[in-house]
Amino acid sequence: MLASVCSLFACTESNENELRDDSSVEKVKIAVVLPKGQTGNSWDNVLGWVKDNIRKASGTVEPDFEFYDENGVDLDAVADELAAREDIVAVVGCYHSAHTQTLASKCAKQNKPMFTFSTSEELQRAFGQRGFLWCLSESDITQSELLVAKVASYQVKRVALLASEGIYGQTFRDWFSFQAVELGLEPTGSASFSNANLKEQLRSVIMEDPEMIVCVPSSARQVYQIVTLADELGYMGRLMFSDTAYSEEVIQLLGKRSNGVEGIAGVSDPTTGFDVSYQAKFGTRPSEGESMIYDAMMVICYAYRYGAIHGIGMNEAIGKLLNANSDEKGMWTESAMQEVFALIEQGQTPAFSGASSNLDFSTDNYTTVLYSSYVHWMIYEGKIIHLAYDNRSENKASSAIAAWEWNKQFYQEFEDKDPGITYPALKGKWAVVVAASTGWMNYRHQADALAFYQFLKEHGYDDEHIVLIMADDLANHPNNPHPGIVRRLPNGDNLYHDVEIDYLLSSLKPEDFQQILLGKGNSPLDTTAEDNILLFWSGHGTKGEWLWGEEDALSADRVSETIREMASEHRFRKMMCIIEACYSGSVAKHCEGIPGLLMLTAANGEETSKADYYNIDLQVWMTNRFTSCLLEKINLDPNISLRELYISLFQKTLGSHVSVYNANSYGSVYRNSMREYLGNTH
Amino acid sequence: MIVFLCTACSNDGGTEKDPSDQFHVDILFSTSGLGDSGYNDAILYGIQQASMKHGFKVNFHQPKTMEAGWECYRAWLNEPDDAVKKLFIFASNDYEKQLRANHPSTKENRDILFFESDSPIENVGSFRLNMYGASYYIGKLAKSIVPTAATLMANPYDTPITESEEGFRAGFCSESEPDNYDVFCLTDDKHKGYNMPDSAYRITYKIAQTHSFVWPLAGGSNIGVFQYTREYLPTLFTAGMDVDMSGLSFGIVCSLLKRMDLVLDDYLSRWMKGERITDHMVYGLDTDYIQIKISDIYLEYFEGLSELTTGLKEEAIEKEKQYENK
Repeated sequence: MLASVCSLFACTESNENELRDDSSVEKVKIAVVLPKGQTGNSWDNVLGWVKDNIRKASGTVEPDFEFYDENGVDLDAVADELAAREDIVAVVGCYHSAHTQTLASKCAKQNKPMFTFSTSEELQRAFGQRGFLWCLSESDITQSELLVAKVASYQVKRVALLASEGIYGQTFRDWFSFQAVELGLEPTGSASFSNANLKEQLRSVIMEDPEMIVCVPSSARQVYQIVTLADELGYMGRLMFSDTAYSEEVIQLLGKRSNGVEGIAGVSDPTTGFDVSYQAKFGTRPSEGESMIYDAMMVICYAYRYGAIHGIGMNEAIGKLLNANSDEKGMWTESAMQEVFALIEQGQTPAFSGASSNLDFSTDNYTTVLYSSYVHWMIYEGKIIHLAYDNRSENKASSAIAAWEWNKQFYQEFEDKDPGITYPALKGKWAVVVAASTGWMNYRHQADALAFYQFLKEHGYDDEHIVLIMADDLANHPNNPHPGIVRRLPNGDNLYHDVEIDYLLSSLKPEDFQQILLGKGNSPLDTTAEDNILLFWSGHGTKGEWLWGEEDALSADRVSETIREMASEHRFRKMMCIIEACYSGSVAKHCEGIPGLLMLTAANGEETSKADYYNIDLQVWMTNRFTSCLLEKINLDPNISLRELYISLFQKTLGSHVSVYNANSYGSVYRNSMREYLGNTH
Repeated sequence: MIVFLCTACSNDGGTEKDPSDQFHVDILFSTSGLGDSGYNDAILYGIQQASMKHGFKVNFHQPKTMEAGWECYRAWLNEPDDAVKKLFIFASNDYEKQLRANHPSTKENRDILFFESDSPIENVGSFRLNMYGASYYIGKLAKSIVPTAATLMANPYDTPITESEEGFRAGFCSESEPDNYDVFCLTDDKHKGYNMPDSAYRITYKIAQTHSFVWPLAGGSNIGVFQYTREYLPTLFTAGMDVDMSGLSFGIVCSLLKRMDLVLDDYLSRWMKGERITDHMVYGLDTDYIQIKISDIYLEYFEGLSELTTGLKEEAIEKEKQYENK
């Protein structure tokens, strides 16, 4: 049973000057899923205001809100119902990233228009291209960028990240190191924390001696704890907080110690006049999200009338309206809305701007607003003051995807130099393909491994020369709507055909894998100094480790020792390891100096590697970005030089720095190519 | 939050009036006006308050370009004549040249109000806030705290800031110590320098090596000055501009307030009573529209300086009149 619907907010009194017959006004039912009474937020102000303005401006429609407390209901069930209900025109919510994800996953199935201002990276990449989700703020990738940029403006070099566990902190953990490097900083480390281990994680971060720490707490209480603990631990550097700390509650909790606490927060564009007008009307500054709630309701009502007049659905109507960009600010007032409604009634597609921003959307890619506004704030003598407003540079690409479509600056440089290694003639080619994770939620690792396996077989490999290790728990998984089929892309080929798995992941421990590489025991890897080995690894990684299954890991030392032993026993001529894992560079770095070895990793040692293509039906990420780019490139050109391959992957792999390790002990990447690993195996 | 909420108490606390269809006000800001946490935001705040108090509809425009702004005005001019009383407010003197060249004809039910023009514009109501007297006053206050001061101007040309600089200098400098005062400019271009907070910060650093007070006349660039005083207190003092900025830094001794809310309240209530807005007025320290607010933490200090503060306002008003009559 669903929790009962919270009562509607208090309506404003109808305009005594208006003699409109309310029965002619159509009610546009909008579900609002937000926290009730959290941190002083009262949505009544903005909901009442926008309803009043729309009613007066339109004359034909008015929003009819159905409010749900996102913290007080069974959100899964509520979201399911709201998505399915035909009387609900659109859904607005949630406040918390995890809840927004839940709501989006349900709305996606029914294509229910959904507006949100809580835009995590995961949400945006998973649902942004589906045409139902309208994000009124940029993802936290932008906030992360601005935090790092603010750190850089303080003329420091060494910076660390301390981020809370969960979806909210995940975006920052995913992007911080990448952005820090791109902005010329030196990330000294990052740590994620829970309430239980905050002190320990903060200590670990401080030990690396950063000059500043970017802090991403998920509650005001955590802000309090971080400030207090940093003091206690004697940290002398500066703390820069994410938007969670932009809160009166932080001032109350910290008291005088709040002085100097600073950070970045998303705000409405100050040039729209909404904030000032809100203050004039209600005597207080608007809370986070109120301007976007206003815009959501406005757009929904516009789209409702527009769709009715043009005979199109809501999402299409929203898209058309948001495609028409206005240069004028402040078009959220009742007077301005009146003009917009009038133009809509005439069958036109008017341009308009909003309370929170200009409402410039990139609807050709991800349906997210461009150029959210952020403020650099500080708590000074018991008040939050705004120091400067900022947004993502307009010099970056104009698409909403641009938050991660960075023009990466820091390519690796390679010398076209012979390292002086004499390689014998190539006789045989061997491949080891490992999907090192298990379970449905890690779908992408096995899908990628199978894709690489199939690629090898199309390029001269037979099963005798491939060692395939995977969990093999996808094809017949209960969640698989198509038993026996595993794809890497929604309309991709079935990769689970003619597959010969040498080892189930569950049958091996990491040390067994070492023995396989060393050709010991019954290892099928029967290689000599005249054979090349290509290792493709797809799985999870942490710093200094490639994870193995659910509980084990291959440490950097173990990997390095194993390959060194292989080299000393002449078990390969050349070995190329292509590693798709987070922080993969942190293991690869340990293998430097081994002659004949080249490591190509999806990420450097300080950053995560990004998944790609979220499938709403399967509810999994189907592939990884690095592997997608890799397969695309080597399919096109199996003879590609290693340097060209690196450059291509570097440019196209979003959100991480593809890296090459040990080129100096391998040979010129200009003159070596994939040809030595592809083609007939003997 | 800039504390114009405290100063803009023009609303008598009565119930909000529903906006009437019979009175429409359009207000045009400069292209970079709103969001300045100062003058322009205070104007918007004031007009929203007046709208709630008096009951008129308000539409505000912040165009992307001056051309687009002028088009808003032309569109307003071309609206059909009807019984609705309409007022168009130019909240920025950026459009002065154009308006002078294209002054409107008189129309029933149409009035135009222009902010901060130097002189009358035909068929247009206008006013200017004279900052000379208030600046003189603050110059005197500054002299009581520190021996050396400098003015940081956006540029050396724009009338409102040159007028203020002269007033401050007259208040601060005495014949016996003329060398304890300097003027710095952010740029040499007319009408520019108002959005350079980083440069302002750096120049303030330089100023602070030899001066103890900065009189900030650089609009949005002043943020850089306030940031410096916040970070390096107590080496440098300054004053807030346009609205009460005492919350931004302990170094802000006082703020020069332009009570745009009161100006608007006055004009709009007269307008709604049927008065035509056509005259040009200059408001100075002798009106309530220009005020000086001492920051709370300095109140006690200045209260102890009754010798200085007694009669100072009258003295400043007198100086201002002399300046106007020059």
